[in-house]
Amino acid sequence: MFALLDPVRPAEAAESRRLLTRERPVGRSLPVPAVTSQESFRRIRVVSPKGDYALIVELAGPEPTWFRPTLEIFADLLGLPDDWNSYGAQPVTRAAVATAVKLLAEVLASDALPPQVVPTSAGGVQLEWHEGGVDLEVCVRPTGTVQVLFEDLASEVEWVEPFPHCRDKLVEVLERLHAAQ
Amino acid sequence: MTRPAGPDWQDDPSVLPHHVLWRRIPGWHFVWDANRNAVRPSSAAFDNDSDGSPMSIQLAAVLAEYGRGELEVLQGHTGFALARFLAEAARNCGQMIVPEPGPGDPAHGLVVGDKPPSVRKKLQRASEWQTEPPAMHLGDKVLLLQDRSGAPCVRLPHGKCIPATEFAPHASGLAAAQAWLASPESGQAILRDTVEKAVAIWTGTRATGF
Repeated sequence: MFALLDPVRPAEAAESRRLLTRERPVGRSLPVPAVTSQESFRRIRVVSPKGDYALIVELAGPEPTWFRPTLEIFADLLGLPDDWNSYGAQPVTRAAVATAVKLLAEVLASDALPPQVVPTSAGGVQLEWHEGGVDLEVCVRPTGTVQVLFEDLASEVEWVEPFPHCRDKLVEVLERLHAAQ
Repeated sequence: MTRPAGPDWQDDPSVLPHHVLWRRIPGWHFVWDANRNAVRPSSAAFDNDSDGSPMSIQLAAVLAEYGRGELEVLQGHTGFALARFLAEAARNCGQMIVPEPGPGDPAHGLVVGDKPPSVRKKLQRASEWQTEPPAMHLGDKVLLLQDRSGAPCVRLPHGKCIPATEFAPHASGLAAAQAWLASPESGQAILRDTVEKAVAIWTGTRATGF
């Protein structure tokens, strides 16, 4: 069921550059992101609505249903201005987005429920699911470190743990949400 | 990183447990909670500032002394809403309440203390809307919101926002919007103008002027 993705080639040194590329300027009239073949990887390019950011991800295997729409949000978030929350919030960092994309590709089934994605004041992103009696929040800090908060509303079981320490538990919760879809 | 509470910070007991604190919530922090069937603030809205400074709030009682209210706090912040929570709730999360009035901002205060995810979650749980968010759930996790200019836009389930002109709601979503407009609760709501515009767009009955 879990069609885990290899989001980038395993060249760690070049990973961040491969995963996220900032492009300026990019015209508003760019067409819908194109997918081009490159060996066994497909290059997916998603441009933010304002056209000032593009995410480029090399992807092997089938494209999950949540993948492109979620990337579009991340591209949008990268274009947020300073002080977007009126309290001095920072723009979202590329490190946070890169971590979030890789995390989702690692733990989310290809046809899973996508998260709601919100920016954090420090420049990170938070992935949220609030359904099926579960509150699940994955907080990605601007530096790329991750904490996961889970709460089962019926049993009142709750935990907060760093990722990837809680990887198996996170996958289990996401499977549960997927099954309840 | 959050700056730890320093020795200079001291909880102010003159802020009584039942005193109400307001926090502006940007549209980016409205989330659809299917468990509670409601649009609510994300816990991410209850964090310290990006430079580690404590979370800013407005002390509602002080605002009232100056004859100010929701409109003044939201002025210039299109698409935002106000959340409220009690000083007691913040203190129960290990936070201190520190008034910090500034020029032209006599009701400004701080909620001081570390805010790991569990604390942010508790603050979110302790909060409720002071002003209804300019957001309406149209079904299927689709929210109708205001963009920065006040024009109607739609946030899709994943979070992507598109102009209302590029969206076609399900019949049930349109019916819900129309029913809300016809209900008494919409009378004074900030969202009313946005919903009216969106319904006009979706029903092809755009009024003159937009």
